Amino acid sequence: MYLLTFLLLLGAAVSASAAPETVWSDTFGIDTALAQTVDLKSSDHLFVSTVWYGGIADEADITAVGLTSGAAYDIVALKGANSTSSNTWDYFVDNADLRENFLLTFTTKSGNETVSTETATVRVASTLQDEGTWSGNFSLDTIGTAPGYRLTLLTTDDIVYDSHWAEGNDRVIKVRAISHEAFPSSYDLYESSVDGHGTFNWDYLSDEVPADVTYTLAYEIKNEAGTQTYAAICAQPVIKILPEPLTSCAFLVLAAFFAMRRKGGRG
Amino acid sequence: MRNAFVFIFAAFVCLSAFSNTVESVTCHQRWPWDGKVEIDYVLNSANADPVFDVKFYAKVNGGESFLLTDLEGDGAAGIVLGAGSKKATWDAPQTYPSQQVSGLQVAVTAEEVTSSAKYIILDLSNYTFSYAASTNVSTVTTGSISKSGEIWFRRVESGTFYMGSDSTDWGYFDSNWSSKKSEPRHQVSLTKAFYISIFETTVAQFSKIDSETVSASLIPKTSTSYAYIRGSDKGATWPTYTDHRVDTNSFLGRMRAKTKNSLTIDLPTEGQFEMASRSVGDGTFLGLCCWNDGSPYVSTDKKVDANLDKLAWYKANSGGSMHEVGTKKPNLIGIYDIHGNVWEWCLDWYDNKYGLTDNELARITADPVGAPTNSGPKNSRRCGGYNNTPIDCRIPRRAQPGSGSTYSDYGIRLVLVQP
Repeated sequence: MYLLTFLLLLGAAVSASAAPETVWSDTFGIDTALAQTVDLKSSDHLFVSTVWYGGIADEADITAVGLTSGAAYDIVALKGANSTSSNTWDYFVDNADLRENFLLTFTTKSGNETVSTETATVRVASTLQDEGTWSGNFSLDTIGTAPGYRLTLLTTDDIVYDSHWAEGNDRVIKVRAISHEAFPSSYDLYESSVDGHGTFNWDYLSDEVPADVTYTLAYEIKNEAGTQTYAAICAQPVIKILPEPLTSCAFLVLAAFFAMRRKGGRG
Repeated sequence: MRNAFVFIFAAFVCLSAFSNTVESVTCHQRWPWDGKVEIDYVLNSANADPVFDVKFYAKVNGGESFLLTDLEGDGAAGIVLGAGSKKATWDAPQTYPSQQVSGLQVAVTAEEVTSSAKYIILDLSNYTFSYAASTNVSTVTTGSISKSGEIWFRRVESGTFYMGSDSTDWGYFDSNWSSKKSEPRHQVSLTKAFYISIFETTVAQFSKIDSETVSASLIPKTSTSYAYIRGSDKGATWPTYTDHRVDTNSFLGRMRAKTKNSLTIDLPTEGQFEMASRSVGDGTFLGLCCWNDGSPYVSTDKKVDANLDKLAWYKANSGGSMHEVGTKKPNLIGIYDIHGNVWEWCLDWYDNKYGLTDNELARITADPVGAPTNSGPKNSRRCGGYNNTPIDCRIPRRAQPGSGSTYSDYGIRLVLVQP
């Protein structure tokens, strides 16, 4: 009888082990609103702000690599983080080139084992001065005659302006001719709103400009915060408008005068 | 009284042997910037190489439970191979975008289905796995959904068998065979059961995983390099890393992503391929001088073999082209086209002695992994194609293609392995 009962129990145990079995976890909370925890905010530092909501990791490393320069920055290595509550950390890195994008890597570890690695590509949303680059063929020329000289910006193909500006900032670009005088004057040639990457084809005239003056092509960027910067497109002065030369008509009059005097002397 | 004590003790031992199928379910939010919740759990079994059917549920403050679907990792696509610690990830923000939720609980429901899981089926319409005790594929079938909308994998139990051949095997010393002695016979032990696809991967199956345009073609997918299948970065590191890592932008990387990284899908090792080829199904394995159904070699002219005709598309009967998979007889455990139709990539890097020393060849090798990474660089292929003679279609036949090369008669057969 014992054997029979034992076999029945064995059968029951086997049957029970084959049936679906459900095990619930303890209760826990989540906060999906904290999805964005890495942010760059500063205008003069690489500034990383993180919120870590705990987990099984007890160590975290944050690094940043400039995607253009390849420069690497160790931001912070944290140990003994509180795994049961959120932690907010703000860190600055000096001497980073803030014009480029950064790949942030957040690695969490438990002991020596990497628990997980998260990455995010970020760019500095700041009011930094712009230092874009230009490409394309362009030159400054004059049209008109005295006293109505006007400067014209000539392009033979598209002019591409590629800046490091964070997207979303409103900017105005002005292209000007700057006179080389004790008190330089500038003459507008072009003005437009631009984003980080612009393609332009210009053929614009300035207002009338004085002659006997050298002009350099320059551009001006103004962003939403009002910061301005100038940079010469060309390293050398690009044009000098000469004084009005003697006309051929005046030359002919003078030549006739001297010829007549010479002819009269013989007579 | 004494008998009663013996009974109680025996019953206790008996019940203790069957611990909970699932236990230690713990959850925590990974970290807030992706909001995902990691679910750790443990699966138990008294069986070796168990198979589990797994589902995940959640509820809030004891309310009504609901099925979780936004999952990745162990069990995310329905089936788990092997016992032990498991980890899945729930993409909680998909269910609860930008909000705080307290009182959450997650449940893991697990049923061990080892005895019923002779086959594991991948449904290519929703990329979930299921299991079956028998196949719906008849002995020789055409146009089956198992060749286009599904991939059927056949379980192969762990065991020990003789791999390769020796001078008693026809073809071993054939004078036309320049690679002779590249298949030294030795004993191999595979310690874990695995599942191998019963068909060579068809163009239709491949297109559902890897292409924008779905094809209906049931011939084998060819012209894919080893590097395309596994990737040339992580995918080239076998066996430096034996965790079956592949590049995410490889065919297998995309396939694993679509199946939520629930099971480890890969090419078979040479040991797995040959074990499946020689398997009789009762724990024994075919020896030398026979095709994969146990029938002997009968070729007298090295061109035509009447027994191979029933099993393979090869030079004498193929008409110079590939044929729909599964239109010849399968081997003794129901795997088709092991001989002929197309050569098949294996996971291992090639070596004339399988990457083993002479001393190792003289012993039983457990779970062989082939030559070291990038040795060659060549990979292994198996058992001939539609344009090959019977000698090239033999079970131990192997070759050494370039891992970055593509060939019009190289196909893919997949396995599901325990990590």
